[in-house]
Amino acid sequence: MRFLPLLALSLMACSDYSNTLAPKDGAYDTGGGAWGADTGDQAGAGDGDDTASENESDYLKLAPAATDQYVFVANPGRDTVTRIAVSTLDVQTVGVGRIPSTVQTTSDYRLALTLDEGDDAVSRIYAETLDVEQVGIRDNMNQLDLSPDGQFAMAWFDPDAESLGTSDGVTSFNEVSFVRTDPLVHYPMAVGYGPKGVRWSDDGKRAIVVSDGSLALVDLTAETPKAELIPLADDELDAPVAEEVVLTPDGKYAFVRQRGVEDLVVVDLDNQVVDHVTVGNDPTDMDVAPDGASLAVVARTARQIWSFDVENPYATPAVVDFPSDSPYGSISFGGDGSHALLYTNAAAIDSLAIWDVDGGGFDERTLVKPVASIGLSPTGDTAIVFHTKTDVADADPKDPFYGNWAVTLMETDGLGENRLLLPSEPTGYTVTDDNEWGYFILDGMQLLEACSFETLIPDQVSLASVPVFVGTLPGHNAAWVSQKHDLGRLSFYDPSARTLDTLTGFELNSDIEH
Amino acid sequence: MLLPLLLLGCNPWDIPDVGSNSPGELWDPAVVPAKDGVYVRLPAAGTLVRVTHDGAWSTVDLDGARPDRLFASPDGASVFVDTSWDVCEDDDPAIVYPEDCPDSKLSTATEVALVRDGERVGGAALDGVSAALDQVAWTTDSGTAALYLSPEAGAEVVVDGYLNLNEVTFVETADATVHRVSVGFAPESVLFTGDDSRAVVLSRSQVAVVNLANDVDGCDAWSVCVTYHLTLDADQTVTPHDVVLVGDGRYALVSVESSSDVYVLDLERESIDLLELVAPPSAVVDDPANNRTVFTFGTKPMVSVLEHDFFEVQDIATDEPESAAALTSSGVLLYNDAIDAYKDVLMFDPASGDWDEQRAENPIYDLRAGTRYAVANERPEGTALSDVYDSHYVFGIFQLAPAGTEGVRDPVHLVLQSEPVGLETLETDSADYALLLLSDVDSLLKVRLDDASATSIDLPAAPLGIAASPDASFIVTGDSPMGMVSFVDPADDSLQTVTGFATSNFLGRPALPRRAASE
Repeated sequence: MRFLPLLALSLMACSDYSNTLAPKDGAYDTGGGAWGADTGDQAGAGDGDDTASENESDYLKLAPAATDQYVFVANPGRDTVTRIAVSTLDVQTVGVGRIPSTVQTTSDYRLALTLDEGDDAVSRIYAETLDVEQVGIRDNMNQLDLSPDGQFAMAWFDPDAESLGTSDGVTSFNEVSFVRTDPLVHYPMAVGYGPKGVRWSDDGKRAIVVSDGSLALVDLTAETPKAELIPLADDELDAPVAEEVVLTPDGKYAFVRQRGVEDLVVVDLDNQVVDHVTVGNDPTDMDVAPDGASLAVVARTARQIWSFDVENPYATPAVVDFPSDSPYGSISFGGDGSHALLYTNAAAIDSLAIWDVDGGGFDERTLVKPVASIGLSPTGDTAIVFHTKTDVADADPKDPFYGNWAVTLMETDGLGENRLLLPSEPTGYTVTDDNEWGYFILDGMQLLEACSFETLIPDQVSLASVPVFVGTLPGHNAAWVSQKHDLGRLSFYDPSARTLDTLTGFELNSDIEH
Repeated sequence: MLLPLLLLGCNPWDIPDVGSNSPGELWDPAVVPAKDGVYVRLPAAGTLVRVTHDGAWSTVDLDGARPDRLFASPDGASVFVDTSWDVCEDDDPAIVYPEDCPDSKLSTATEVALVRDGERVGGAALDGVSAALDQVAWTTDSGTAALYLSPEAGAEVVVDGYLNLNEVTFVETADATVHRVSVGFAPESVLFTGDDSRAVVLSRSQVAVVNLANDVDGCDAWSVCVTYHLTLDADQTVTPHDVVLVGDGRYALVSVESSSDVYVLDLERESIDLLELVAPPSAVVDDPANNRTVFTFGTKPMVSVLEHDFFEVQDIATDEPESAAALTSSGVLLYNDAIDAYKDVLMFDPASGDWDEQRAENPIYDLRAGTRYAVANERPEGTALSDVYDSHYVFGIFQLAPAGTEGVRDPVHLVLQSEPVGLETLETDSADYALLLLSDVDSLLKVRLDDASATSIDLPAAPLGIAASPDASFIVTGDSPMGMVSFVDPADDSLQTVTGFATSNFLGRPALPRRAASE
């Protein structure tokens, strides 16, 4: 099941995140997630099988539909969106189209957009005034992705995802709907077969729509944006699965990692030329450094990291060997790019390595248990390592962590760490912009764990009911937690004052008659 | 509105039905004191009389209708009178009396009149107001009344034509102007905001706010400004149980039956929040001075305190469950009048959570809290072999003082000769008193509360009931077939008794009213 954060918020469905594909941590993965990843077994990593796929998704991290002032909640059962003011808990509800399945907010906090599956439309909501305008899109779209600058959104149909409002119209497997947000205009486009998502360039000028067999390049500066198809394979219907696509910050190159393919596809978007560069055996992950200068690719079987110059991807890459024979398959850069975490969640390996990117060395650390997922603080100096319940093969059954869920709060630039035994599985986490706090929630537990990145000490906050999603507010160190409740429940936790404000039954506000 | 709720231990709008229409009785001892006299129903004569302190009485012209039920306004200035009369659909001029009319053509019509100074306001009944409406709520100035049908009303309700269960009828008492407002199905209760500008109407699964003033915030007067739905599931019924206004009237706290949820309606921002208490509350009392609301739970030894800044709830364990609560100047008085086994009487400080404990001797069934004392009627709980307390009715006197006060007198319990049939309290500058009537005792017991000393005021007959009058006197009804009302002046314990008013129209034979042939 994919995450339908806002739907589940109202329906109280606690997601099985084992197949959840949410955006990866990197700045260039802000689009609709790392599609097509073979997620493997999240609940327990493999037993050392080097061929298992890395879980590419940062699956626990949830994108809040929040601005610096408000949290927006879609009410698909009542065709409304609820806006909750963080400072006052003031609740306002506004009608949108039928069955708004998701709500997203722009980075300038000015707009919120809903995908109204029941109407085959997108509603645009002004955050302050709650003025709503709707534009029709192509039929049966069930995914929506908003560009970082909020100028465009793309809707598409994912046959593997749940649809809430299938209409009688034609369902296309080649169409996407681009929507300009202001003025509100719809641009239907035919792209490659089975579009999986969109990548937006940092400058807001380009988007690429990714399919297995092709990329569709969209010039967002055009008066009427159109898609130009760039084939990635001779036979689009038999093309390798595109597991990961990275767009360089300037939008000049796209890198495509395909399943089972040893080469990396490099697409020169200016000239629309497709080429391949060699990487080590079994590329399983890639990440652009925060400065945008280099692309690191993990070659798991080769036990190497290949670094490409983004300006000149055909130049000879720098290759660094792993510090050990551990089959690491994932990489995540820290905030300033000076170091990166190398780990795996495809095998039951109880270690990770911190790569000193500038110095070239590694600090390999033994963990209490294998890795399920890792969250980094914004500057990357603290990691929240979520462990699998599964232990390494030779684990001691008498170890207190044996057979249990666990989390490690770890300094990546120091030796401090705090290993926490958990009563149940973590189901969501988030970090604050100010690099001070990380939050996570646990399956079935009426708790919010607030972790100080300064002290590595967690505060346990009791909730009124079982949490479903957790997120933070841009520019604040407070967290919001949605919880199971028939009529909706949202709490705000302020770690400075250690206060929890809870709003219950806010969905009733959608039915207030004035 | 909350205080009487808690003092009485029942719904504040559950006005006592003073319309016990027993055939053969000349007068109904459930009299209604008003500023201009005491109104008494004469069922046999089918008339309403007003008895005044000077010993006079006069008949109120109801245009031939019989008074069935009386409701007085809190200030005593006005009295609602539900009336009925016989209607014969046969215009034969020979038909003069109800018994002349064929049964198939005889029916009963009803209406409501607003009476003041012995006359119907406006000279007629209220236009289109159903006499089936048996509940009334008043604004603080008694200027407006809200009439609606009790949710407990059963099949015995007489519907004259039709009855709209979605309406609340508002009556402006100054000129008897009627406003019917559709508020939602089956209104449960009505509460007015402190400034009397709005009415909060609880009905099935929703709460409506009615604007009583002119065009406030774009909302027309006598219309619903906002409706809060308490559920989003049309198949689910949420029945409001109680409501209080807190935070200077900005918030309405609505408890619902069989639920530990309390709805917080923000009347200013027009939004809803829900609080979850430890159990369904049995009583709720607001303490504006401390900006807190106190909930009790009847069967759970716990008190929950809700503060109004962040709406956080603090649960405080007590020794026994408390089913009722009353706000006093010393704190919130907590007690249990639902389960005999629990006799603790607590003075609770909502700000600190501290309390002092006193204890009743017998189960409390009627408690009145004043400024300095609370008094309670306590019923026997034992058998003939039990001790003197357990086998008798007991009158308890509890000194009220803030929790933690030293030197508070222990409760005093007076063993009573018989069952109390009436209780009123009186606070004066010099002393506080309770006025107590006992069954089959021809005297009024006046108990000084600070020393529990009692004096008797002889009554001319066995008392039937006592009621406070708007003029600070007390009305005692006596067991006399021709009617007996005594005006008691507590200042000097003097008694002015009026008798014989039940003979008004005693010998008259009621004719069919309002017939052209008979005019």
